[in-house]
Amino acid sequence: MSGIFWKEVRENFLWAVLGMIGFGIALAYGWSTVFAPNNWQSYQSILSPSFLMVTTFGAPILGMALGFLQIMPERLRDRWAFLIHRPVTPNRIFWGKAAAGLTLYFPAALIPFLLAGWHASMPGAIAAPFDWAMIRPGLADIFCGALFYFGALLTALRETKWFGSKAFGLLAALGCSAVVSGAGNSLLQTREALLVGLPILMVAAWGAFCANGEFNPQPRLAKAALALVLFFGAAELFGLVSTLAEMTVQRPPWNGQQYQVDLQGRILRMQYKYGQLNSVSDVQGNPVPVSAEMKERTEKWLAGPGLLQSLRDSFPEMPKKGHESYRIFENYFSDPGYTDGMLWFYAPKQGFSLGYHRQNRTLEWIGGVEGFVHSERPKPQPFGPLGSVVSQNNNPLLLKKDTVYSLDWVELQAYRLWTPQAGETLLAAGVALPSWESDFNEMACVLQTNQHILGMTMKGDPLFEVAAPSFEKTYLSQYCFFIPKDNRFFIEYRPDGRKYSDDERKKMPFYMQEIDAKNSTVTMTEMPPLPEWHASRPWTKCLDFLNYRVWNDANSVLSAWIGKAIGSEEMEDSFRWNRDHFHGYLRHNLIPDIITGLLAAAIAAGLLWRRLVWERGCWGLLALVFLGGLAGLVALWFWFDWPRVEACPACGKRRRTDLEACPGCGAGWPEPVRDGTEILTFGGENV
Amino acid sequence: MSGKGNEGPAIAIRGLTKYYGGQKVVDQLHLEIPRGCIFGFLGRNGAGKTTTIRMLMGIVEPTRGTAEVLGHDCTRWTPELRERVGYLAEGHHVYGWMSVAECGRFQAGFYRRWNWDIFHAVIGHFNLKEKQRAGGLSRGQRAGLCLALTLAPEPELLVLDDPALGLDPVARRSLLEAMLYVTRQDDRTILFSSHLLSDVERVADRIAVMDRGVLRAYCTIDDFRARVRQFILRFKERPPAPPELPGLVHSFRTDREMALTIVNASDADRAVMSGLRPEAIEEVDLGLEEAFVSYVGERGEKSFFLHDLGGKK
Amino acid sequence: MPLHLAITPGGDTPIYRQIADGVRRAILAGKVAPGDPLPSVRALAEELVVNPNTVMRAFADLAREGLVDAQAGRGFFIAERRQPYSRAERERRLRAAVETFVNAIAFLDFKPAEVLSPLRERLEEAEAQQTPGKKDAS
Repeated sequence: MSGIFWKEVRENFLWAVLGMIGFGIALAYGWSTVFAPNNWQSYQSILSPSFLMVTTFGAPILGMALGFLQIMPERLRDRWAFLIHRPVTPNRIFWGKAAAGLTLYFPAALIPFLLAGWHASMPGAIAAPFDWAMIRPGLADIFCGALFYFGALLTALRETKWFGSKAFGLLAALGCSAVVSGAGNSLLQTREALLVGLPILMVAAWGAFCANGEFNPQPRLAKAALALVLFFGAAELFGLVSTLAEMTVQRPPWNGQQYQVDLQGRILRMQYKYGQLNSVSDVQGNPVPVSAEMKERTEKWLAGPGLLQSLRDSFPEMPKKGHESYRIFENYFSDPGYTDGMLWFYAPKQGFSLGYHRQNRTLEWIGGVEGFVHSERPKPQPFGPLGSVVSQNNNPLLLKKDTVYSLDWVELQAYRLWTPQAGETLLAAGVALPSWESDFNEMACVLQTNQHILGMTMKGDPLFEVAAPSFEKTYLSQYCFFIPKDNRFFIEYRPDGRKYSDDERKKMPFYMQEIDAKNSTVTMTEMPPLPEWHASRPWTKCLDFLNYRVWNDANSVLSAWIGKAIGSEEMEDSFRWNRDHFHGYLRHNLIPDIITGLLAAAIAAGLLWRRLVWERGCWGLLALVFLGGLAGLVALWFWFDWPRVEACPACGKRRRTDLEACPGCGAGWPEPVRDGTEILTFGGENV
Repeated sequence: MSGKGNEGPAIAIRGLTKYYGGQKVVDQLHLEIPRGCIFGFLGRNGAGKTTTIRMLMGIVEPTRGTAEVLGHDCTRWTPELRERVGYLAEGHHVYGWMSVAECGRFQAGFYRRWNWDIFHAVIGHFNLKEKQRAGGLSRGQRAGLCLALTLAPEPELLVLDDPALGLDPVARRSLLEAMLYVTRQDDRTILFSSHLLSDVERVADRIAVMDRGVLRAYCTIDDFRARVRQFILRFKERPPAPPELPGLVHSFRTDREMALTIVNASDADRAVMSGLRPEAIEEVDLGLEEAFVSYVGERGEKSFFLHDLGGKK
Repeated sequence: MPLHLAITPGGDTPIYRQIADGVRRAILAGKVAPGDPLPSVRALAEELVVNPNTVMRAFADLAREGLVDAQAGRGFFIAERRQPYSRAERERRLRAAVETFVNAIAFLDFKPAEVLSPLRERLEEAEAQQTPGKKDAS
């Protein structure tokens, strides 16, 4: 209804401007910390945590403020009547208000934010490349603010009856933040969460409006949406409680075992307890004496590991990692490399390596196939789409299916390390160097193709070339260890995590391949499989029942399946990663979760029975409470409008005050006591 | 039940009950208001009048019971029904940042039928200027503006919740005049609640009195005054204790007299009073306000003795 | 309008009775003559700011007493002076009025002879005013 729309816009315009200024000031402050002289993270610009924190918290606050401002003044007593007693449906009034609110909110939030983005995009602002796609996290936060806007509408609309209503507001806000945190760091999940969460909150707020804040008159759809909001909120609350509890405990000390290679070339099995090195044995299991010094500075004695980046994800584009965080700079450009006064990045879209002068914040060097040229000169030939970038110690490797480049930022050179032979494709590659605490700092490059394992210097001088190993089952190279003075390389192979389940992998051995470049020998050692890393469970384990994982896991599985069905590899990967992460977790918790669910459903059944609202449809409610666990129970408590129960004046049994007939004796409600002073000439008594 | 219909009562309430927590704010209310009636809703603060009105207007959900406004269920208000009913809620709310003229235009945009003549007449009657900011108006002027906004759509039923609250006598008079103006047309019904009994006496056809959620009286003003009578008993010496009569709502004793306010006094009651052997019994007419105060006031004796006799009842 | 009526709500007397009393007083004072029209119900109601039904009731009472005539479609008019009550009724009303009067002066400690004098004066004054054709100039 345009009348309502313009009235709302005019009424709240100044507030929106005020909010915009406030938000802008906060953003400006966050922005200024990005440019603080000592901030070595200023390359992240619009993705800096300190800046994003303003959008993450400020946008919801702005949205909530606008939502409250649009409802609170009109909720005062009879002002509400003035609003809704009009010959239009409550729908129109609500959507008029909401449309006005959003029309005010988005410019108020976007204008300062986009100004920051525009500033960041200007050359000379930051010593790093900038891609407008980097505004996505901020935009997502601002969109989440709209979520909180509806959450505030919902909270303000709910009739304040008793103490429960104040907690309700908390639950609604937590429900919003549950959606946001469920969005997580993955762009895809963010999109899904917002696309699902926003309509739910809109419908819940709309229902509350149409029913004047009460529960019973709401349309069914709105009641369902409200239930979801409360459920998310309760789940989030419990999650917060258990997180806080865990924070009081020190980081769960990790126990586990690892294969390492020391600088003498021994393959060692390292056992860690409570995060510290506990004991060392060799491959056969014989113990190896560990000195105190070695316990303290383990890294000093080890020959690695270097990570071999696998390329078996989609080719030739950068692999679509749906589960990777879009909120970090490294998702758009690479990790920065540091040389004297310069910062180095890889820009995947353009296909160049870029060097920025730290003081002047200007682009100085552009690196392509032929090497690095000054930014004012014509651009070199780009590297093109890559399979991966391996950045370590200022000597990155750029990997493609048929080429590997090595960049030297100090010498400003690019080396082509490898060209494939017929039918040869690159499977993995990495930089081999002893651990950063050791006294050596020489590096070599290790490549695994489908035919060979190659080793060479960072400039391309070959060190060794051996045939690729063949295994019965599918194995991938994961780590390489390097002893520079002997030119000895060790490559660790592990079973393919995607192909084999956890149980299968538990029985499959690891392999360590030793390549002695000097003497040209190759040795393969079979190593027994290692048990999984686990954390000793602190007392907070008993709070596990608060975090109901069944629905979360079900959501992930369903989304992965949908992704597969519609052919969205990104979606499938995103949710599969989530699912894999929770898969083993679920196995430990399925039984307790079921018990918790049954308990919650039992309590809910008792509640529904005791409060005399039990009817056939309640079985469905119980099923939902079972799935929702404790959070479902809490949501049920706050969701339903429990009718008042009193003793029947006739028969004494408990009965609901909102029903006419007593279930026990069938009597209606008695008329108020008459004391003879009534003057009812026109009626007024029940006939 | 549904359908416009010009027959049937304007408002029909059956068994309407509302609980707030454990308290019955409205208890089994039965009430029927015919069309064309000017209905005065009386009661102390907190008696349940405003809650009843809000339930009728579909703003508050009843706990149980039904109510119909112009034949429509009060839990299912439609835009068509809202067009036919004018509602002036307590407090005379307007959007303060609008000017008087803007208020009119804003409101008019919602209604199909809007009589600008009425609007301007009422505005003029209350001496409002079109450019004045609504937030800067005095209480009485705001009431006039609200009234203009409510009357301009020419509603069939007018519901006014304490419209004279905070108004000066001139504004109150204007309000009454506007109400009477509405009834120029037959079949226009007015429901209003008020504490100003002199105003109620002027314009109401019927009154209803609510007391602690319960409807205790529904009659004409004359009926009410006829049934709430004061008896003054004069004694030679100190009067005895007041008799236990069912309809006794108020008693007052001085050195020589006892004044009893009795509702629905019967011959039996008169016999009891004679039985106290007073020198004289005088039956007095009470004004509406007096009668009302006795009717809904605290029961019990108010004594004004030179020395204390102790309270009773 | 020679008929000046004022009402005071909130008093002991109902409004309709005040209106009727006002008309009666005007008739007694000679301010209106038989045949004069009374203001229309609606007009009087709006002037006094009272419910038209109240005015209607007052006029109906006066019509029942015979003081005014209702003429269909034209409104109410002052009636010719006539006596609607029977002898018995008149005497009953006289006795009731006497009772009220006596009660009112009961505690003033006047002797009957002292009371009669002002009473007679006033009655003769009223009779003079009621004589047809003799209108007060005010």
